[in-house]
Amino acid sequence: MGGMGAALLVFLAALIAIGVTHWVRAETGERELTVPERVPFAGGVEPEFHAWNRFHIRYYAMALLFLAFDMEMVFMYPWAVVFVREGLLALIEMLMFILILVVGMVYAWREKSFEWA
Amino acid sequence: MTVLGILVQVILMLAGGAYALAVADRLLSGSGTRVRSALTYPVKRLSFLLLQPITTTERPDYGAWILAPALLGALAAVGAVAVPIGGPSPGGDIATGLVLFGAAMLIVLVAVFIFGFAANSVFPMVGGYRFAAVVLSVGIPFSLVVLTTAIPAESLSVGVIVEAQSSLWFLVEQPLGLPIYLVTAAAIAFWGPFDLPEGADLAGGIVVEASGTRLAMWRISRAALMVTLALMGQAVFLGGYLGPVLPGWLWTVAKTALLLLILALTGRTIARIRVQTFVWFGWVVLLPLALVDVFLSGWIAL
Amino acid sequence: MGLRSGLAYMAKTSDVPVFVVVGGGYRSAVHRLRLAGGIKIVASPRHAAVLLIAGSLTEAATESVQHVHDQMAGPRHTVSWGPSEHTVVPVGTHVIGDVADVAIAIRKQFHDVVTGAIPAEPPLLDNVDAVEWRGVGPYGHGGAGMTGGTPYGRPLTLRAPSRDRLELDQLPVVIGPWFAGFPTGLSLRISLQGDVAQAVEVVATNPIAAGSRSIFDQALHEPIPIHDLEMARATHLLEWMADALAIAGVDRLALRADRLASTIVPGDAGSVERLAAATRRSLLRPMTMRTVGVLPDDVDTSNLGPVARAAGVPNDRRTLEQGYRDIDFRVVTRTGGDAWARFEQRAAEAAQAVDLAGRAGDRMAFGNGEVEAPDGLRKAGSPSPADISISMLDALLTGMEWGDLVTAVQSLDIDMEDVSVGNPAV
Repeated sequence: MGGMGAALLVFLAALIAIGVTHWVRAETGERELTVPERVPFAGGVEPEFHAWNRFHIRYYAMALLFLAFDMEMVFMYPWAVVFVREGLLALIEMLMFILILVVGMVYAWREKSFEWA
Repeated sequence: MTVLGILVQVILMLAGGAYALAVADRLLSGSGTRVRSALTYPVKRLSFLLLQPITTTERPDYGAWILAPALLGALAAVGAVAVPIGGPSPGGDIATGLVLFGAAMLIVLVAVFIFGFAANSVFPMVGGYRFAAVVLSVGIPFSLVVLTTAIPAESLSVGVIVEAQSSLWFLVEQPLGLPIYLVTAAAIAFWGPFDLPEGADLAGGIVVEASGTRLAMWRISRAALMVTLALMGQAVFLGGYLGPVLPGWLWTVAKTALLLLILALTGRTIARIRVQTFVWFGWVVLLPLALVDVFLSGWIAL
Repeated sequence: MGLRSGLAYMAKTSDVPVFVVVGGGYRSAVHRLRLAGGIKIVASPRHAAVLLIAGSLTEAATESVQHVHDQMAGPRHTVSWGPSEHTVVPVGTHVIGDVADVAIAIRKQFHDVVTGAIPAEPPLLDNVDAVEWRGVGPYGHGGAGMTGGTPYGRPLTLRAPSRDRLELDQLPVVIGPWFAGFPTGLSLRISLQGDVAQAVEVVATNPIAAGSRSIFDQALHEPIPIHDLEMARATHLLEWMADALAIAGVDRLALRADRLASTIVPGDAGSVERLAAATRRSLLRPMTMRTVGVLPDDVDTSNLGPVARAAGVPNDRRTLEQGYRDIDFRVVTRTGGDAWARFEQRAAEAAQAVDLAGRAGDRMAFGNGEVEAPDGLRKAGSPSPADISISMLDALLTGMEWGDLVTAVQSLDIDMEDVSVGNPAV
């Protein structure tokens, strides 16, 4: 079995070991918790609402920028391997690609996408 | 080496590293702990946490709460497989080891987010969303500096990258690499000064509602994640198992310990960063520096 | 030996995780407790095994303290500490004594409750749903629309327009009074949209009863030796610095500030300056505090002592006192008026206070109804500095991201003992 198979097995082994320990201990509590024991902590006062909400992610513009750069990362993995073989051509091509993205980053910075309060 | 051998090796490395990190962190906490009591501290702390019942909130996402620490630990373990420990190994031979590692480290975002979200409580939830901002800001520079080490090695296999450093460590050849790696690695492991999802300003953030075994599993998984990040850091920047006289695995252990010590020390001595300052720092400082690192190293490699 | 007793054997001598409810008159004492070995003060009751209730509380504290008690994961035990026994939590051990006594009691109770020598405390509040289940489906999610129904009796959030005039979810939460990021006893009702506060309102109950009068309150009525006043000022400012450093995540330096606060001697300004230098090396300014918490222009802060002086207002009642003039007192100011300026200002004032105490001899000051306290000008019959700070919180905090909000609140040094809202004793 190759390295990838080992990686998969190690992943599953860790997932199951930690998950099962945690789950067994959670299921074998001495007693059922009372209602006040289960109130979420916010400093002592009982919350009025569920904490879950459609959270206003104010850094969404930055998240979009991440998507653009993450696409670029996908191209860069194979690019890095063939870089030395392809030589200067690979360097210039990737430089052009990155420069376009960096312009986007500078624009986002100018538009104050990295601060939200 | 068999699969079982890899499994044992990963467990030994991660458990030993996690223990050493807990001891070092205790010694650096400033409470004046002696070495002897610091050595037993992690065991006592773990015993207490295993003894303490797991509390829950009134309507948590039960499954996600169980899954999150397991996922975090599993991601740490799978990232560690890609690193050769004492010499060439099947794990280090994975042709796309760096891709595996990079993917695992970015999925940490999912584990941390669902751990915060699952509690249905305001502090953990804000912590979880905060971590999303952190990882989206450092994900690219982190992947870039790790990937840059593949350029001179002409391979994504970590074993080949280590061998490529037989004449000169990439620490020297790519001077921007390790500093950026350590900063982004600390952020991905939500370790101080980038412990934003667990900050004191959120009373502990994602772990506010976690107690007992749940907290223990989370802490162990996080420590394992730190070890994995240090392991990869020493493999791609400090020449991994390469070194004179001593056996390879000892070099790996020593270099990993060094990186863990640096992380432990900075985590204890530098103030936590504001989330907006961090997002700005990630995009405007770290990303351009990482790009400079890529193209400069590429230029040198040609 | 079973697994359970094996774990208990290991755990019984570990650090005791303590959740502290700090009442009137015990702020300083709890700071000294942090230095006691074998005790770790935690910010969430879920992590704690011992609930420490220190000092005086009002009736308004009862419910919130009982909530915190029940939220502890257990095996739990309560230790109350103060001159008279509490009624808010009618269980546990009561300690009268100093820091060493209470530290011993905490460790002993922890040891006993972990090994099972004494039973863990049962929950205090009744096991009834405060709000009835009103949902329809298996998760109570039924009802009209996506956010219909009230799962587990609690409704889903309200909606409100954002800055961009979009109708978005807005979560009103009451944070406090025992949230470690805020001054003890302060509760704020905050409407959170994402991690930004859209509206902030101070909750008009005060769980903190005034403890014994501080030396600065005594100085309103009678002259007090400058030496004592300035040492008390230095201790207060150093303890405030410890809080600020703990919130900024540098516990190492927070402990150092606490240690300095309990050991500082008159004239030793150098120790304070070295601490201030260490905080600069921890990058507190660029990482956490720069530009945070600048007060709006239209609020009068001239009586807020260090807060005003950090913004360049050279207002200090001590300049009018003969005793202080004799020892060549000069007002220290900073510019900027952000959280970092306040930190540096207080560090400088702490060093100055230690220096003044060393040179004061037996000179006396105040006694004429106006005192320069560490948090500002106290004047008989006027609102206290804490009252002024409280009244401007909504204007200051609205629109802030959560972390900045906590830093800003902390930078004002609000002492709920001096807040008249809901406090009959003041």
